[in-house]
Amino acid sequence: MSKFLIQIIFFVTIGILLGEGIVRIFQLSIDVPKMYKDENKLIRYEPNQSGNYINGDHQWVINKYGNYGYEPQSLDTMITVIGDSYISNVMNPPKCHQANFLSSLNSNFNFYPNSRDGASFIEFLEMKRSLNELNPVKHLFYVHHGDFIESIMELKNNPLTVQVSLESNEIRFAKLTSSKLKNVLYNFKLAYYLYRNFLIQNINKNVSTNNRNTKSENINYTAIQELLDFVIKYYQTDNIILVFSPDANQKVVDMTQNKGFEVWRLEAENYEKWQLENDSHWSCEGHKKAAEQVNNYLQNLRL
Amino acid sequence: MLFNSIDFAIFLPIVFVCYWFLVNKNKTLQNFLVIIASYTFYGWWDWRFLALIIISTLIDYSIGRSLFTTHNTVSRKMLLWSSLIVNLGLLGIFKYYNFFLENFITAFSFLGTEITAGTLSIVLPVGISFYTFQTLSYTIDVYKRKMKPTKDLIAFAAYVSFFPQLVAGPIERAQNLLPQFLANRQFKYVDSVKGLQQILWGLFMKVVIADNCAVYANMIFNNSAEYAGSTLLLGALFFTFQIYGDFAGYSNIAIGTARLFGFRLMQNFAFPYFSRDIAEFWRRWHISLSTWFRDYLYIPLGGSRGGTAKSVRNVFIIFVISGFWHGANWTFIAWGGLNALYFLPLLLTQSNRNHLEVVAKNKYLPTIQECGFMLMTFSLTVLAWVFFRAENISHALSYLDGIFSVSFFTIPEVLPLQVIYLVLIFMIIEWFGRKGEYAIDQITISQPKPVRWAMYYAIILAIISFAGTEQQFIYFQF
Repeated sequence: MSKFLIQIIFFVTIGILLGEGIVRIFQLSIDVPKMYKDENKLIRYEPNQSGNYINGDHQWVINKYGNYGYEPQSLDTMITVIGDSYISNVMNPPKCHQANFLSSLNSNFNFYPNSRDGASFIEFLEMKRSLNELNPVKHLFYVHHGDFIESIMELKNNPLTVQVSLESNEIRFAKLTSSKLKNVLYNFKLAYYLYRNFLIQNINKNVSTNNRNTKSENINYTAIQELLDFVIKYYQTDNIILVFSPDANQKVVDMTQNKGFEVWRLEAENYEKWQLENDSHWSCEGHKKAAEQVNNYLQNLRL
Repeated sequence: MLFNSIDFAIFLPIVFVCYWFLVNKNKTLQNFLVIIASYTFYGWWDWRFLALIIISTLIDYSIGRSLFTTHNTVSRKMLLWSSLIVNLGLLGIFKYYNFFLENFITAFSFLGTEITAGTLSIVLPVGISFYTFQTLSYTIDVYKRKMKPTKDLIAFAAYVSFFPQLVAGPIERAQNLLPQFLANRQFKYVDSVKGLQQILWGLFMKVVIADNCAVYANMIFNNSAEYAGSTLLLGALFFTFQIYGDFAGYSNIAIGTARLFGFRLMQNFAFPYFSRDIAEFWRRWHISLSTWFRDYLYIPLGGSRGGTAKSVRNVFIIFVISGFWHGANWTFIAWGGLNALYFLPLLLTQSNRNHLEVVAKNKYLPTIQECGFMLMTFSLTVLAWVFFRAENISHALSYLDGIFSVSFFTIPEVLPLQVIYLVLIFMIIEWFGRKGEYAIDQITISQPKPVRWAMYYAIILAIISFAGTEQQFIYFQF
């Protein structure tokens, strides 16, 4: 019996080492960015990281400010580009991120990307608050009606994103529950490969958190109205431009406009062409089109 | 619990360690652990149906004991019939009630009488056809005094519910398996290594071959009206390898798992697609079921004794019932009937036992004649599988009609080369391993350890890299 168990342990150990080597050499697994919680209780990526996307198609980059994508050339005359995984993510190379496209289209400003997978509208506001000391000219919030729903604890209790309780008017910051697991997975790529491919079958279809599946008929407009009232009361909103996704609910767009937000709604003739294959996140093409429309809007503002 | 699930990957080592470390000194405790593990394994799917297994176990145990102590012929027959009625009654209710009712209604409406009767909304308990036949073999063998009944209820319950083969066979005979539960077991290094080897090969057959073929077989069969004859043929071929990889793969995992616990189960598949005639195919396909029907139905009916007409009748009976055993659908009956028709010429010319040895026994390659025989048998089998896979008889007929059309000579619209290459590699390995109990049994035996391990790692890599998307085993529905 002991001989059998020793052989099994030996076989498994060699197998793990071989598997780890194969996964690393052929870059079969996504590298996972390391995260931490900053002094503002916001989940941030550790600065100056990079890693491979599947098959080494491209490298994702976390810049020196701890954000996905390239950093701006300077922090002067800066516009922040705030959002969730739709703004910048591991699936698109850094050159295809929204802030990068905007920088190439508009040299009058430095575009500062700030995003996190699964972030809510309330988290965008907290991100903005943490960036105020840099004196940005404007803040571009890339939003979808799902981001508003995701912000309200009573509608969709999600401890992994920043939320507000409309009953108590208290903000609950996101938990970083999986940081240790992610640290293990970051270093043990075979385990992450097996986890992605066998434990969670559908992860390939949606690498980042996606809150954009809420259908219009299920939207609680009253709660969103209360959320907007809360936001107007407790946050500075005058230098925010809400950039709504083409598939956002029009009534929510109107509600924000009526509350005094500066709003721009993106338009897409064929929205599917904006999206990645088997994934609703924007592709390089989608980001480029969105950036062109936003740039035109900014040009017209004559900031 | 599925063999190809994470649950089972956790479950098996736990049971293995408990079995050989915690309760290894006492066979009753080992048997008790097997029962607990088996009921957990089965209850993972739906614990409510555990009651059926327990009922079947208690009834057949009691009847077995009574058969031993009763000497009156009439009483013994009544006891046997009690077991048959209870076991086949449960099978009939859960599996065939709706089929008979619907056909009854259809038959009367054909005669102009409308009958309204509600069908039952019943879930078919997984594995009921398998464990029912297994317990019946015990009662019948005790009735025929081929074996003595056991006094050990725990051993008997472990025999009925033994988790490796509980839900999809092999359908073990009490004469083979029950004595193993009554004997002391000792850990044997070679058996455990062979067991793991067989599990690995079974997983490859299921995850790489069956699951990948399933994607295209399902796609083509589900949209058969849209495809050309060449694609339909390809679809039938994919199903041919899907069902083999699925069921033989399951059997390999089951036999390998049993071996880890010191049990030897019967071989269920012996490279059937290398058969030279249909009789040989049926000696090599689902052996535990074929021999069950042979021993408990064909021979009691008279077998091949009693003249040609009676032999033909008996052959049709066992093939049709065998088809019906697979499911309550006319397609399975047609599949069984078609195989009986294939078998008939061999029976009439008394050439059904021409090929008892493995093909090309002492050679690397077969002769041209053997190739021709194998190709013909394989082709007949592929056509029969169309009935097995089709939704109904008209679907099967239209599918076959589609194959034998002018479009047969066009290039298939669906041509997944990767899957085709995988199947070809698989069949080459099967060919060179055809003399063993499973394909890599003989191939690996003579190799030094580094080569053997390299082969195991290659198979694991193939399983991880080419894992298909299907999960369920086809034979669970039977």
